[in-house]
Amino acid sequence: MTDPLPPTSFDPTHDEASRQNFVGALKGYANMVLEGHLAEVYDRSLAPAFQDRHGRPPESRGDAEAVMAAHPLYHLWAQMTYHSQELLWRSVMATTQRTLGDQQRRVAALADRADKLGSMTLDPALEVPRPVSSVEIHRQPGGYTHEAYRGDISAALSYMGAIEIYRNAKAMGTGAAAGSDDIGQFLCDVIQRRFPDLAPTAILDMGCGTGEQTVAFKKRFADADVYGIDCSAPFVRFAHATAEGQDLALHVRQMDAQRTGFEDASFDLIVSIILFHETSHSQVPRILRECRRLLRPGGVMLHLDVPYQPHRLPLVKQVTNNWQVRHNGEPFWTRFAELDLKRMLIDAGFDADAAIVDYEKVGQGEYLVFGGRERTV
Amino acid sequence: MADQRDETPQTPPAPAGRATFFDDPMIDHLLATITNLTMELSVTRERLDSLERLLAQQGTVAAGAVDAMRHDPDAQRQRAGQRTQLVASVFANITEELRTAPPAVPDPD
Repeated sequence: MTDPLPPTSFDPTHDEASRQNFVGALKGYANMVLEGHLAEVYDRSLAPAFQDRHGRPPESRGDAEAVMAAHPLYHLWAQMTYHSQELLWRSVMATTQRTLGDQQRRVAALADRADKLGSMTLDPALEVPRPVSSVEIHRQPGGYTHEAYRGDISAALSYMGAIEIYRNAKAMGTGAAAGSDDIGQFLCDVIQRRFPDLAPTAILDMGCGTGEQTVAFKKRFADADVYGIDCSAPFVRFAHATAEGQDLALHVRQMDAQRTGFEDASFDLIVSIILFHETSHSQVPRILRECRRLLRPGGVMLHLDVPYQPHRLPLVKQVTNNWQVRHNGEPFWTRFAELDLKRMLIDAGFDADAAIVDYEKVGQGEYLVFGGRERTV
Repeated sequence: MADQRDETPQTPPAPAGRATFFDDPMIDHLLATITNLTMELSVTRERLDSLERLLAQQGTVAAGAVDAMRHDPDAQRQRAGQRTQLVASVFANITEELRTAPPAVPDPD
């Protein structure tokens, strides 16, 4: 522990930070200012034009998309959103590449240290589920699983550097810097408020990614055994180092959330943070059933995800959201938002009156939370 | 398949190219260029701002000293290199697009 560099630090230089901050500002402009103007143009001229042509107002996302697609302001919004994502990765990956050697050595040292607190298991035979295996999620070059050499953690370092910039620009963060556990702390708050009697001794975070949110559960529930699973080997390595570097015991496994291999009734708290919208229509029910299998009597499952369910959004916002599917590496974004989660929770075996589909505010934004509580015997 | 998986992790394929949104894709590329340029302007402003605040805090630079400054040959060479890099990065998008553009079809007339 003599190396002064913390293992999961994303350390941009002055100029790299300026570029990354600029990307945040650019995204904020596209998301807030341009989308605001789009909504005005839509209400003032596009929707009336549709009405003139069809004798009825636009009623569906498709209706709205048809009139928006021809407007140059929509083109500008699309171009700026698309290019800002390219600049996000370019600016973040400059920091990753410059610091990778140090970070790589540090991660290896933490994984090998004798006084390790947690553990890590990779599964090279794991079949990485789609769309992680088939699409560059968020257009991250190489995707979540890319390894230029065995043990390469660059995909994880870049993800960690980018996610908070993205979140804050969508007004879905707390303004925190890269590596913050703000969303994990927020989910801990939500769980403790909703289930004040819950005292978990074994916790599972599904799709733990780079681990910076997962450690929040170890900090909050210090006596619990905390597990994180992810299908990406670079993320698993990095998450393990993230926790060890903070002297927190985290057990990280390379696993598919649909079939984890843990024994029945292994956990009394199962969470995920923005996992489900990166799965698929067939995986959601399987993951929910797997959660039920893993929950102990009285155990709680609570997943956090994006709050863009169409019934809550004006048509313009539905259109700009759906654009993410094709142009921002988010193949399941719209179909996830359209799921009847309450129905799916009940189908997975949760009691209807214990099934939760709700929204929780954080910073300027809010998240969808969904889950349930297992019956006590 | 297992052997292949050991060789190459299951990574998604790289995209075929950049998406464009305006009727004329050149507008997309030009906007990208302007945006890149604005980013670098922002970086420069912030760096200057940092420097000026530092220098003022330390009382090391008198007003007008920057304007009066003359650079030695080493500094001039370094600055020329930085300038070259700036130009390359600002025009990267449009250059890449046009480098790989299909050859123009000659007008039959």
